[in-house]
Formats: sequence, C-alpha cells, structure tokens
Amino acid sequence: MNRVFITGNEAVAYGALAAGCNFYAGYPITPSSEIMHLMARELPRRGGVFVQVEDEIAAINALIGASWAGSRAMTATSGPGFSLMQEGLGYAVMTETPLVVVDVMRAGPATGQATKPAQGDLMQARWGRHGDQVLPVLAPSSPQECYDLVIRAFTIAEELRTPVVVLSDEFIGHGREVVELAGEVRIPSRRRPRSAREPPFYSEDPRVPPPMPRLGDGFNVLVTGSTHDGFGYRDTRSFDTHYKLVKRIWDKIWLNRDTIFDYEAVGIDDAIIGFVAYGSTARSVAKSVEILRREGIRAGYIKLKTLWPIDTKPIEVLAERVEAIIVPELSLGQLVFDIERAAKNYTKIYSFNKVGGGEPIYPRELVELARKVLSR
Amino acid sequence: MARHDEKSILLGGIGGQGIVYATTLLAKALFAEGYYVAQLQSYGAEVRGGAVIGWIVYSTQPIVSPFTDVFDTVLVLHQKALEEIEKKKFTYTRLIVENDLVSSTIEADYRYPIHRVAKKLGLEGNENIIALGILAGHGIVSREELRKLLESNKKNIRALEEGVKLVARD
Repeated sequence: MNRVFITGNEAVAYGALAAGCNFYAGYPITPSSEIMHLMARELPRRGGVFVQVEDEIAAINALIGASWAGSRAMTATSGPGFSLMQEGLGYAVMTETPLVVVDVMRAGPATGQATKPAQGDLMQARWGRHGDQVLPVLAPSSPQECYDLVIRAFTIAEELRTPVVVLSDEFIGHGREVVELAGEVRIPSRRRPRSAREPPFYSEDPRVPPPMPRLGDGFNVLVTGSTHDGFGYRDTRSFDTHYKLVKRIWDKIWLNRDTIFDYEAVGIDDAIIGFVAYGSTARSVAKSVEILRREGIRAGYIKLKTLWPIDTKPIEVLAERVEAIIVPELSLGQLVFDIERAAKNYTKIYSFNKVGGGEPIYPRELVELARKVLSR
Repeated sequence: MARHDEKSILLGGIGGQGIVYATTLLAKALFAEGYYVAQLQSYGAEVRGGAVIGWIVYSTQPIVSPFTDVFDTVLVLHQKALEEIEKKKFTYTRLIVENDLVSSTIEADYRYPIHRVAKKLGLEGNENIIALGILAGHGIVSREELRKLLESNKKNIRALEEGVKLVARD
C-alpha cells in the first residue's frame, strides 16, 4: 500500500491508470481539468494514448472508437460537457461499448457557477439519453472513493460491456485527502467471440453480455446505434428485434443490480432518525450522526455509493424504523424522490437543499435540523 | 465514535496573498507528520482583492468530514477574509491576525506585523510563508516538515524562519 495525499481529481486519474486505462480523450472544463492534466502527462509515458479533442462530443465518440479497438477508455468533464456527451453515451449503451465517464459536478444549469460544487446532475446521469436505456452510476464521497470507484467503474464496464458514469463534485475533486493506493488491480478482460458464429449482440442469459469483437481482428460486423439483431444487422421495422435488444440491454444492468448496487449503512439498527446521502454531502451526514450520537440522539445514515441502479430495500427498512429521514443534497432535490418512493409513507421525509457559492452543507445544520424534526 | 483529537485550521486572506498555496503546504506538512488530513479551499475566480479561505481538518484517525464551521485556529492576513468568516458565521478558539491589514478594533489572540517584517527583510510576496512560520512557532505544525517542502526556495526558508522568530519574540 502506498499512502499519498492527493485531490479527488488526482485520485480519479490514478485509479484509472491502476485499472489499465490506456485511452483518454477530453476537453478541459472546470472543475475536472486536473484529471485531464494528469492523464496527458501519464498516458504517453505508459504507452497509452491521450487526445485533446475539439469538444465533448468528439471526446465521447473517440472513446467509443477506442473501446471498439480494444482500449480501456475514459474521459472526464463537468455539467456542460456532460450534456454534450449524452448522445454519444446513448450510442455507447445501444452498441454495448465499455467506457468510463467522470462528471465532476458544478452548479448549473448552463454555465451556472463554473467553479462551485453541486449535485444537480444525478437525474441527467440516469436519464440524460433518449429512449429506453440504463447505465450504472457510481458516486464517490472522498478522494479514496474516487480511486476505488473509478477502478470499480472499469470493472463493471468490462464485465457488463456498458458505459459507466462516475459522479464526483468540485469539493471532492479539489479537496485533498489521504488515499491508500492499491498495489495491483485486476480488471477482468473483455470476452471476445471465438468464431463468427457467436453473436456479438445477443446472449441467451441477459445477465451475461455477449462477446465483443475487436476492430481489426477480422470480424465482419456492423456496429450501429440503430436497432440490430444478434449479428449486428439493422432492423428498423420489427417489434421483436427492437424489444428483444433494448430489453436485454436493460436487463443486463437491472438483473445485475445486486452486484452493482453498493452502499454503507451506519448506526441504522437502533436509529430514531436517519439520513440518506451521497458524495461530499455524505461526509457532513457522517459527522452530524457522530455529533448527534454524542448528544444521546440515536441517528444513523445510509451513504449511497451506487446511484443507479439502486435497490430501495435498505431505505425501506430504514424508513420502517425511524421517525424521520433527512435527505440533504447540494441541489434543489433529486435523490429525495427515490427516498420518498422507497419509504412508502412509513416515515416523514425532509429534504435539505443548498446549492451555489461554494457553500457546503455543514454538519451543524444537519444536527440542528435533526433536533428540530425530532421535537415536532 | 468520539474523535477528541480532531483539529481544524482556517487560513484567510485576499486573492494574490497565496492563501491556497499556504493551505496546501500546511496540509502537506501535517500529512508528512503522519496525520490524516483533509484540505479544501474556496475555489474560483478569486481575483486579486477578493476574500480567499483555505481550511484543514486533521486527526490521528480518518477524517469523517472535511466540512466544518468550527475552527481551533484561524489565521487571517486581511480584514476582508475576517468579514467573510463572520458572514459565514464560523466560530473559532484562537485568532491570529496580520497586524496592519486587519482592523485594530478586532480582538485577536495574536497580532503579528507580517507585512512590515516582509518589507523590511525583502520578503515581499512571501508573507504567506511567514504566516506558516508563525503556525510552526505556535507548535501547530512541524517546522522541519515545512522546511523540507520549501527547501527548493531559499527565500521561502528565510520567510519561514522569520515567522518562527516573530512568535519567539512574543
């Protein structure tokens, strides 16, 4: 183990390099640019390829091409760039292309406050593409988790042949903390077809992705964003082909939810008040629970490390036990919809929202809200 | 669950005074001492003249939250930063201020003429490092670890030692 003191953005880059990322295309944008700087320095030295492209549309499409050529590809961006990448991400879902996109969230919409943190891209990460689609979304809450979850993102991308989004934010990206770098990381290798008889776009078991041919290996296959059958032939007319394809890609993620979904639960067994949060906000939640416990108030929290797909069961269990759940977010409230749905009227849900100006949610604010909620 | 040894420091000033750099150096020195450290700063278009703050939470145990509004030590190099801290309703135990750039009506625990010393000794532009020397002088951070981080620049080493001396003279 190598103990270092680095920012979340640096941890993202080191995590990607540890995971064997050998292709990066990107366009600089605050507050993600340091990821690009590090990849620009490190990739050429390690035999990888770094490209600064003209915009984020080019970046995501370069990743798709690189991935089909056999690379492990990543890009990093922030809100405005992430918006531009949506079309390409949809194409990556439809063509089942493994790649990793890191969105270091800032206050939006539009240019908003370019240097200030936010958590407003949650719904966009899940639903930003048109059509029926799903892709895994992971959320680190510290530089250590940036490192760990980027490695995990590459693992999921390769195992399930899917794009994966990692949602960080400016606080995590520019905050420096202690990170333990792993000695060696093993990412599963992509399964390749053994013969042309093996369909690259169909598998009997929807939980297992079909093998992915590599450009240049001689497989004569069309890669298309249009509806296609198991061998890649376009079919833009029939119900069966379309339904079978989008349902299989959907099931590939949803039926693997148990392995993708990850969370941490602290103090929820005897809690009378609960919190659910993710990202940098979850750090303030952890602190406020510590303070409340010291005061004799039994508080607990769930920190979501996967934001999509999510398993609402642990939240439902929490809701059954506590008098109220507080959902703090650096946005006007997006995660809270999941919590309300999961809680099924078992308990009261309180949204706590702050966004803009680089203002974090302070542990004290959550402690005060918890006290107020419990005295009602 | 209690973490009694957790400490927090805030450095404040205005854009151009090197607050973010000093905060980073301080955090790196504390890390070198073996602490768990979390460091953050007001990040943005903090142009020359605007308030800038950087803060650090450190402990012998992993940091639960890098976000706090309660500080053990606040060191400010400019009145504007103090106004920012008041606006944010931060509380603190010990206040150290730059004597000439922070209003004399402010009740500080320590006042040091950092800018005057810098000007007298040809260390203009190194005021942030003198401030770190003051923190080392108060035993908050290891002077040796700071020296190691600054050794490539002789002027910085001098500034650090002048800061330490300011405290010794108290």
